[in-house]
Amino acid sequence: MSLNQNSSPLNYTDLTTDSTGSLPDTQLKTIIYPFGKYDITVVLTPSGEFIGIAEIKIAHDFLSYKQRITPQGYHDVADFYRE
Amino acid sequence: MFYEEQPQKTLRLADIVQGYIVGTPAIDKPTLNANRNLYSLKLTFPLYYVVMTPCCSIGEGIISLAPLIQIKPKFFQNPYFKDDLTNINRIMKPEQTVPPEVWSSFSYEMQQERLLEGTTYSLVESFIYENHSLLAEYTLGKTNPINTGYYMIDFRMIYQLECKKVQNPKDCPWESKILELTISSRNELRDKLAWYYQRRPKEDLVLAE
Repeated sequence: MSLNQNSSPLNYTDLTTDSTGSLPDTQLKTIIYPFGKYDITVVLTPSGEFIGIAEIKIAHDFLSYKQRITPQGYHDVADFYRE
Repeated sequence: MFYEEQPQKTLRLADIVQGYIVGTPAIDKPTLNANRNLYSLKLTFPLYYVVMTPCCSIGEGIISLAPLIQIKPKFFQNPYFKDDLTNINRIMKPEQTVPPEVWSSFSYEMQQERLLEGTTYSLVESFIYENHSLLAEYTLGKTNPINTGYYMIDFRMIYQLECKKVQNPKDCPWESKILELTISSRNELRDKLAWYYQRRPKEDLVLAE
């Protein structure tokens, strides 16, 4: 077996449809599912069928439920008066 | 009454003064090597300033000031603020913090969340100064211009200034003073300023228990 010397160089811009493999170019959708202190990115078909997990990352909002419902002691309304 | 009718010949916290300067250094990012040349220094000369050093700490050639700045036009959209802009200086009910149409646009959950905060401060960085014949009026907005003589300070803009004439509250350039707050108004400023600094973020509120 030998390498095909005439094959074109790998085109990185075509990786989504190339035979090197990544996901086919279909209309998939992703949702971020919060799980504990992690955010899990789940890949779904357009009809909502589960395909797989694309990413697991630490949630940026580190507040626990208890922390979130604790009153902060003042009314945060600055955004309503910003020009 | 917001202002003292007969101001003392001393500098006190919350006094309105004139004749100073604001110098604000600015950098794009912290400089962690020896190259200290990447900065700019902005100098501005606002008409009025407010003394932010507590009365007993004024002296030794150092004073903390805050520029007296224009209020925000949107304050007038809230009937509770429009009725008396100095209401912003005091604690208030949750439904008074925004215009009624904004409050009614909140979801039930959002309203409950805000009601849970109870009667407390809003706009925690701002303190309003009432209008006075010694303060110049100005116009806010272009489409619906509003003439007003109210001003405010933003606690985030407090800065330090060196002035050799400021030796102690009595040995100081009191001639730069225009207006002095009444004891009750000054107490309101002191209370809100203390509140501004003593707030704890949500994550610390629970962890501290």
